[in-house]
Amino acid sequence: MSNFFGFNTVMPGRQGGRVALNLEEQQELDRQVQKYALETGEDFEIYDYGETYDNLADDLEETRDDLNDETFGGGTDFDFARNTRQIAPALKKEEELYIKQNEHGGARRSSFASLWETDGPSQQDTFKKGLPEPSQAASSIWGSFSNTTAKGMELGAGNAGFVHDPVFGTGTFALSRPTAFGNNQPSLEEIEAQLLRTAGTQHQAPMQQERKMMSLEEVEAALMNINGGRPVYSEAMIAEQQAKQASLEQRRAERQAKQAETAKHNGLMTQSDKDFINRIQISQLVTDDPYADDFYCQVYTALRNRHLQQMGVPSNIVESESGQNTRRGNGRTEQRMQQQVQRIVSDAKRNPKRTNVTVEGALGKIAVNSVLNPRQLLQVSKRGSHNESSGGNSPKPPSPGPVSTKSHTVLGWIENVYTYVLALEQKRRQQPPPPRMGEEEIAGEAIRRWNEEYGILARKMWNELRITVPIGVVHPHPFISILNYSKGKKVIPRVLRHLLPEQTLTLLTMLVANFESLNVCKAEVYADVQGNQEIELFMNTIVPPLLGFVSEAPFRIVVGLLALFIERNNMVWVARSKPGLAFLTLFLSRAEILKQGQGNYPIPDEREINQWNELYNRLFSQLQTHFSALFLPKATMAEDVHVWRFLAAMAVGATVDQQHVLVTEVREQVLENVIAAQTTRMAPEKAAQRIGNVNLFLHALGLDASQVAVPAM
Amino acid sequence: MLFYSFFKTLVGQPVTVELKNDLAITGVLVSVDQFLNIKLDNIKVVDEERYPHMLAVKNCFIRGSVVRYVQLPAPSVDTALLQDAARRERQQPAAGGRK
Repeated sequence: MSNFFGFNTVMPGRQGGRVALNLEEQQELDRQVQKYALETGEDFEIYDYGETYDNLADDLEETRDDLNDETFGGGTDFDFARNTRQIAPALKKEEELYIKQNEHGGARRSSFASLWETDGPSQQDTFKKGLPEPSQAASSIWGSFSNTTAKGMELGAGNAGFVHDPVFGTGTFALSRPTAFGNNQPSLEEIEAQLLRTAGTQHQAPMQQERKMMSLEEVEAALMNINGGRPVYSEAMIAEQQAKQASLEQRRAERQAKQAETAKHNGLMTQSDKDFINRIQISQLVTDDPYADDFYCQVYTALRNRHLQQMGVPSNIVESESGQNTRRGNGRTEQRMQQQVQRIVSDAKRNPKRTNVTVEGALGKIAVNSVLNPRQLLQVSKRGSHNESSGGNSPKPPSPGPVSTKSHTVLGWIENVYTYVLALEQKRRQQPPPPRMGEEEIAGEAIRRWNEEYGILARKMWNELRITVPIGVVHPHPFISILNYSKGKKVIPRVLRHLLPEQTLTLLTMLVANFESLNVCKAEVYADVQGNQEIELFMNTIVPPLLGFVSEAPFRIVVGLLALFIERNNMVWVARSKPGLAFLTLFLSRAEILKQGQGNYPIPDEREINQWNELYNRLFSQLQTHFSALFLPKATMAEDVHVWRFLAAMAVGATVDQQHVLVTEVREQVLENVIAAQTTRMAPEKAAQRIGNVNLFLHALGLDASQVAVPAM
Repeated sequence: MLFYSFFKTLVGQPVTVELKNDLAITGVLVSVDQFLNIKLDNIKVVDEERYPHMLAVKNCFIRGSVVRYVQLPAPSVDTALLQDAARRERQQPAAGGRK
């Protein structure tokens, strides 16, 4: 739209055609609008054929169209090509008017007559001839003017004289003379908008000018004040003022030009067009089961929100509120969209396997791919050896006979465990709500069914863990093989949530019985970083939930577990590993608590106590002369805390003789720590930590680190 | 849908998108769609001396098919969850057939 950058594009001849709307004309306009409303009795937006409508459609067959919505997906809303075509001519006129009014700042009011002047006959003509090409509207917007002009000349031959109109030139011809279109009648809304806009510009423009005048006067007044009431106009000052004024003026003109340029696209798409486009986009992304198709996002958001809530950050509340607001804002659209999505989903269910269609007479196939069902670029055969090595898609029931423990087999088991864990977690989320009043019957049925399905899945998962495979058939035991992978360790806390207490006990028993063969028990794993990571993982994933279980177990079970532990494993070997010590500490401290009658269990009877003492003595005698070897040779002192904890647990249950043995054996370590903390240049907190570690053990004996006499250096 | 679901959680995070024409753009992820088209805001080209014409560009839309890599902010990626999501995705065709 280069024609209004500082040029006066309106010629005198043109101005004559545009007279101001007087009162009569206004009334005439209103009358016409009312007449339309009466005649059509319909929604203007959609049926704005106006009086040019020749009732041709009355002859059309109107019955059996009840499935149209299904076929076209949403009635008239979808036909945006027609909608756009309908309003295209009106838009052009609007644009023209708007630009002109902006240009002249409302000094001259344009006539509405120009909107109507050529509509009558030519429009009816073209309408009966058939619909014009819709591309015209688009092409004029994108600026291929010459093309449009040619068409305009062809179609609107009666107005050919305007081609040479010097005002608009050939370039804007198509914009200024929108005669060649079928439904030229502007809709009621557009007329209203036009009126508003005209009124708006009229009110604004004088005010702006007034304000500018004021500012100039103010400057003068100020000058007068400065010069003692006598205005002195220096040439430079006036020139400066004028320059300022001019630049302001120019900036304003530029801004308006820019606005006008973008304004021509205003209302190009109606709301239903936008809805339609939105629906196309969103129907691809909305699913009926967000936890299946949008799993990561759903769970991630839930986790993050919970995390934020724990930290006491209310930002997620704000976030969710704003989300609700936007949803509430276009609730109707949302609802319609959901209906649309439901229809799409049910359609997909009806023919799920169809990925391409061969239409008769078409060359090639038409692919019906979607986001959920993308075109496959790679064709991998299902029976390939590669597939087998990755674990196989169909989880085979674990065979009770000899099982190989090759790495890929074990990894396959782990993946199957994950599969069931994920299914169980999904089931948990779909847990039926507690029955409401009067619906116990139905809800009870739902709950029963849910329990059944949940039970089946839990059983499958249990089988996949291979805990019940008898000991000694394969070495290492399949369950231990699973635990030897970090993946397998990670799944255990999630598995335990779905296990019955008996099953957890079985798991713990199996773990304790085969503890030796765990790779985290091997001394060499302490040597490298990866090994240490594995140990860390074991301590973080498997120990805490089992600790929780043992700390609620009765005395009988603790005794049984420790007996099994001592029986089946080489204590010296196991105790040198961090997890082994952790388990020993766990059993010893739990037994001690129960012996003292804490917790909810009764104090164990004489026989059980004797049994325990016997067990303890066995453990002690096995570990005797190895206590100092429990300390890792290279580990820094701060990492010894688990050893001190174990020694403390041992010391609590020890007899006086045994305590004496203990003290003698670890005397060196105690002294070393105390001396290091007291003498060397060590950070205070590190020193305190060392003393704390030593005190764990010494307090159990009734001593304190401060009592240790440091030999003189 | 896994990648779409994943990138949705990164909206508002700074990412670096490496394109197939060796251009690497750092910016705040504004939106992503199912084709993994990416909208970035406050962008900055990594090698500005080589692409001076990009200096004036403040935001951009990247067609998904021209993306080679996306460098992610590590703290905002939950790898364990991503593994689970991949497992679920693998189960999905079977689930779809069942429905």
